[in-house]
Amino acid sequence: MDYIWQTEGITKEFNTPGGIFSGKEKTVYALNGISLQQAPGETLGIVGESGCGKSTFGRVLMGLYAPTSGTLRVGNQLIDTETARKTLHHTFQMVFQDPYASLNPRMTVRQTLEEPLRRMGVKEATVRSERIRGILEQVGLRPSYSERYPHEFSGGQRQRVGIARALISNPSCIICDEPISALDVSIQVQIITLLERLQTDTNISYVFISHDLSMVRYLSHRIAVMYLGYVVEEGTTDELYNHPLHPYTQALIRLHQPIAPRMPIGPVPQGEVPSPLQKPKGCPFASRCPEKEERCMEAWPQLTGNDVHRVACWKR
Amino acid sequence: MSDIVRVKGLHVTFSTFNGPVQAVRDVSLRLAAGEILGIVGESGCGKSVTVQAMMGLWPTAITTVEAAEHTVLGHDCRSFTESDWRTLRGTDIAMVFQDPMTALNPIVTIGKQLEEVIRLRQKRRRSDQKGAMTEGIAEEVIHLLRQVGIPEPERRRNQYPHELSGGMRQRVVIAMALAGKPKIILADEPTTALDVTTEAQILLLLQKLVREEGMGMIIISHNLRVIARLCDRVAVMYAGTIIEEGSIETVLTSPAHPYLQGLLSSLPESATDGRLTAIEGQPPDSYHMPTGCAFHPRCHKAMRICARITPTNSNVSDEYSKRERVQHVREHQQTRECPHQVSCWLYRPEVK
Amino acid sequence: MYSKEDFLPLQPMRCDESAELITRPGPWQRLKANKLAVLGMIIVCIMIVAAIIGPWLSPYTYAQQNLLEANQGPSASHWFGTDTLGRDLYTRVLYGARISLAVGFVAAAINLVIGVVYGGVAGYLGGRVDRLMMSIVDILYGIPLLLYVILLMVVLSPGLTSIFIALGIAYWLTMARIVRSQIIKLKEEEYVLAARSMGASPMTVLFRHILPNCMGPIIITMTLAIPEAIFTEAFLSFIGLGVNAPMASWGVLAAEGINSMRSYPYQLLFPALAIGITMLGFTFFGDGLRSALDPKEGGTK
Repeated sequence: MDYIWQTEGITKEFNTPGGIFSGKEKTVYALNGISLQQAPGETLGIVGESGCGKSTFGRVLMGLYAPTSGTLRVGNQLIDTETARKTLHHTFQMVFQDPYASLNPRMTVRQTLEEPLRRMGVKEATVRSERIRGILEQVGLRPSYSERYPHEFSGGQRQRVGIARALISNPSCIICDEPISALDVSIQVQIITLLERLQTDTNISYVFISHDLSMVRYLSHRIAVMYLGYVVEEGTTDELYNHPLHPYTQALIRLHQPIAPRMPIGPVPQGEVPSPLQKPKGCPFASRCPEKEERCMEAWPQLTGNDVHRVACWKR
Repeated sequence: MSDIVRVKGLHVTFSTFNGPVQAVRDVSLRLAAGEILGIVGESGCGKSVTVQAMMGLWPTAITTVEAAEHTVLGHDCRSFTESDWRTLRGTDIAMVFQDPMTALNPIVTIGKQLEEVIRLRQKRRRSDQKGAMTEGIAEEVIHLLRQVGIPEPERRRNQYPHELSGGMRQRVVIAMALAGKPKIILADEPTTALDVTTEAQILLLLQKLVREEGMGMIIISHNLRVIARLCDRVAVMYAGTIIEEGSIETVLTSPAHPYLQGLLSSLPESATDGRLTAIEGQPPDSYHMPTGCAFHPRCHKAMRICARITPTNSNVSDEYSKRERVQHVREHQQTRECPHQVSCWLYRPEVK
Repeated sequence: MYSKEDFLPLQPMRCDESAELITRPGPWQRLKANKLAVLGMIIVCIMIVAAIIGPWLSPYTYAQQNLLEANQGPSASHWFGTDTLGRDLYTRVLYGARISLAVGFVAAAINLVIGVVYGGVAGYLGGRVDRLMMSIVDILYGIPLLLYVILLMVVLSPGLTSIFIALGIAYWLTMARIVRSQIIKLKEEEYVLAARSMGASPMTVLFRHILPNCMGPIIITMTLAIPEAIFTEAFLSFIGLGVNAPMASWGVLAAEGINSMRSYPYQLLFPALAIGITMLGFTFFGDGLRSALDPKEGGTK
């Protein structure tokens, strides 16, 4: 099978500089060996709590961060140099979380959308404005809005502009980094249905990064569950949702059951996500896992399984 | 059971540079002891303003709060001064806000902050509860921290807020709320800043505390899942008014107002096989309120009258509330009626 | 009370496309709508024009003494009166305007060129370069302005040149700090990330996405720097470190006015008024300019 992109053991460490007074340099282990891939036309959902590294992974794909180790392949090309990373924007585009911060407040919608077109070498002004007109209609905005500034839009409309900006340079994959979590419930669904329609129309792929498992489930063909910089479980949506194997996935699914009056809350994983400043020796979830054993503390279980379902847990 | 909070016909108006803005229009609410009331709505629907106005949290210079009736714990609050409010808020009413970092003083240890609240409570209650004080404050701090599920309270109380994680901080805020031994807790989006697993922990904690201590709680959230887990009764707000109110069972299983129906059907977990349906359009901004029912421009069932006249409340008698209320009342020791009310022309007798 | 009509389905409203079109006033219109800004602009313009052509319209020169007419009050022949040496104050105030405004604009130019570039480079590159560059700024900050000037006086002769050099050393520090902190903040904004993720070059990112969004603080700092520089010059001249007699700057005039304040208050009044009005003018104008250039301010109707 041909993949759009493929990563092999991607790690990313951030060093916080140790100043004269702040003492020793600290290392944040944001990603600890991520191996994922995506088929064209599919949506890969990445779900996890804050600090699990899901956004960092999106930015590594986008080429905004260079991975500390591991490889990223786009098509058949190995992306291993800064020059190669600079070309990633032909394949990937990104939709950001905060529709208020992700648009330049001093540029009108037209200016925002023209920038990537100019870079693509579209010289004729009429061609550009025709393209902008088309893309605005595609994301459900009136073409007459193109002379407006971002602050003249509501949050949902801004996110549509953000999607238009990602779409206009014809990428094969859009990385959506929490695209709806800053929006109201009724607006969230408008954006989700828009993303859905765009995928049917253009066969584009999404990497959908979110903490909201139910939205991820609705939109994705495959889901990867991340915890503390590790992928703990990965598989097709149906398989993962109906037969979750990892205790963390099971807990997440329990917390995202359909709404019912007085639905029970527990049982909840106790404790909190450990600090990413230390790489855990064993399984990252061991400190909170209700089923942990001796070996869970000793070594990290590899992500094993087949194409449909992979899990990183000693007990499965 | 008597109501500890009762508000009728509440209007809140802000005077702004662009003229007056009605943030809350004709809201009536009540809360009984031991009850958890949820207020749900999207951002800007006036849910926080309502509750803050009920607790006298708005400066009178730019805000007018009007109500036909406004009682909290038996006090008539319409003539309250700022100092009356402060007395009430420090002890009988406690608040838990969305961002625990702003609710805590960053340069004082959490133990000291808790002690302060306890001392304040003892000072205020000295007049009416002689002899019940001067028990060890330090022990009470430890007890409170343990009660909200903070491990190693002896060590933790000497820590500063920034040394704690978000979930721990919110637990400390809850402990501070409990320290005043309140009768009412107001929680404004208490878990919005937290992760799902931490959220669930905090919700469990709040539920346990309210049930144990028999307090009344009003919880504001935009998240229907939070509301569904915690509340006995729920009020749905849209554009400054309550559009539907009832017990959590009736409201979630047989929603009446088209807005709530739309909201519930736009939850991804309810779209098991079908597609999600979105409510089109966006909430009105408070400077340009539509005439009539505020929801009519987005409503697919709108009638001509909806655009002209604001509907009044009507009782909905649905199958669910008839059949299961009896059983339900038995289960949850609710001893009173909980009418399902909706403000929508579809349910007015005139329509038929 | 209700007719049957009322309960018919509501026709979906057709949105009027023309109603959605907004005509937005340009920066110039918005500046014109701001009365204080217009006032400030007029003051600044009058001062500039007066400084350029004013002295020519007067029959006297700034150095021309006439001891017979010393210490005269304002009159038809001497509009602002004369000083202790019988020099025409009106001419001297206008001549002082040349020097004061020149100092102000030189300070603004230094701010804009050195301050923005220095702060911009430090903030954008970050890391070790930033730390080194900012340490230099901190060290320069630590030395008082008066010390520079006095030291400069030793090397050069007192006068306009040494004032300009002193301003050149000291007057871009605040701007550099402000621009740097703005850029560090804006560098992390999502729209900058978005631009980078679309393959924008560092130059595009800096000049199209980051710098335009610093315009507000830059303009404010600059317009505040102008009156501050005018004031500094006045102060230096006042304590005798500024321009040489018989040249006049507002500071020199005010210093001379102080000496005879008891008997001839108008000798202090006119230079002081000139300083005050000019500073107000620049402040109003700068504030108006800042809000006019910000698309977020001003109505959209």
